[in-house]
Amino acid sequence: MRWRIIALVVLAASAARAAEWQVDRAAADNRVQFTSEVAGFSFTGTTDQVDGFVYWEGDSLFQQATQVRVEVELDSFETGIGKRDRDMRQVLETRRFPKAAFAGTVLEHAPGSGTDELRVRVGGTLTLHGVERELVAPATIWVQDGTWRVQTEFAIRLADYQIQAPSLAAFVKVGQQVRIAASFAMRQVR
Amino acid sequence: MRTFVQWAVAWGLAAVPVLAQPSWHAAESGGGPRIELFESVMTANYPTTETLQHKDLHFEISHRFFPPIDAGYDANFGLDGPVAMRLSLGYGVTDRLMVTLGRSSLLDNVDVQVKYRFWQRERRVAPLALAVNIGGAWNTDMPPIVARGTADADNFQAYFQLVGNTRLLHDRLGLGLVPSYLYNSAIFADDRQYTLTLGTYAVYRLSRTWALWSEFSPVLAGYQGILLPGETGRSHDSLALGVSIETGGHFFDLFVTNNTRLNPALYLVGASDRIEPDQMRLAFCITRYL
Repeated sequence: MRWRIIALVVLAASAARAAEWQVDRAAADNRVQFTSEVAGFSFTGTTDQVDGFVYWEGDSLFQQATQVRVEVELDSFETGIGKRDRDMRQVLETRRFPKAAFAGTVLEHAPGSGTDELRVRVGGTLTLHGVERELVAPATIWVQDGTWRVQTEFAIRLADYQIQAPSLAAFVKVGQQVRIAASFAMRQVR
Repeated sequence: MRTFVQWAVAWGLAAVPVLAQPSWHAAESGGGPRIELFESVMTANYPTTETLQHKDLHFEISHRFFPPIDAGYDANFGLDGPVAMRLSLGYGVTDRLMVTLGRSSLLDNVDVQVKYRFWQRERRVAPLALAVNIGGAWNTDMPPIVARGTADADNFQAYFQLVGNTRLLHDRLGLGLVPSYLYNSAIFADDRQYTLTLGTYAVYRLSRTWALWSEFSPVLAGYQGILLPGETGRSHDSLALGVSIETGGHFFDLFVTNNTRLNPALYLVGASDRIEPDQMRLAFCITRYL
């Protein structure tokens, strides 16, 4: 009897004081896209294989112990040219490092310009190609029918992650800076 | 009892930070990453286990120069020609299935190949992949001394190739075994012949751009005689030694070989010349992902 009471109290307390949103993997318009530039033109790679969560404790939004995690399957990026996809997988060594992962927290949050819009700044560690680097990135959350639509955009440098810039021709290297844009849906699970 | 409940609540609230954790778990990857053991879908003369990505195209142009390098400057070391030439176009039906249509100037041999990659095993050392390559060939240009129509059944050939690939030495060395069975390997013989050939190749990557490679193809059983009317003697095991240069979707294979036959239905019978320094020819194979 006593242990049941303890268990019920713990469950009730934790349920009341924590919230968790997870990436809705079934959403049709999830998208992570990178844009690289080479010799005056650019190409993009896109995937919908994004996953992750936002978790915090407390009754109000991002009150305490907030955790953010987003993972992307690198193997699934498509640039529109199979050979270029192969080169990308080879450069990123996706057999050894199949995912890119961001793990961090919400640093700031404030209402956006529109209703149901929230602007946040997240900070944490981006792990890519087996290299961990600190990253701070802006994001916007739109609340739509009880779900979130999250969008973010930031840039990384290939050399920071020990990624050797591939060449599209013998001496034409892909630029060091790569822009990342992501948009995905999240649903509340707790 | 009241004291206990108060204690339980206090204990429970204290335990919340420890017990409260995200329930999220990473989704399992569907089948794991694809193993890519070779940079291209083909070597100079053999298929690899790689296939084109869905809807991708792959173009090939190959030359084998008939005069041997030993012919010297007067023949520009063979580059003055004549040559045997092959053109082919491959298409990715799915990520694992591709179709290739090719044509060689020798006997105007037209062939259709279907390659399917059916198995892979990821391992830290020596990952493996297997594919099958099934082809049919039609020799559409009969020599004048052969009284036979173009559509005669004897002009058709078929072949089956099992392709096995692996990589060693920190992925620098790619190895391939291609046991190949060719049906109707001597289209001018009275009886239907077959040839069983073991294709082998090794590619050593010096850098992302440069690689050295070799192919050796002993005929294990079956017909290894002449291929064309007017030839004498027999065919010989094939050897090719070359360098590969990859530049942004192009592969340039420049090599020497004793086998100037191009399409698989012709190449698998063997070379018209021995593996000897004075019998080696210059050759190239240029491919492009479209």
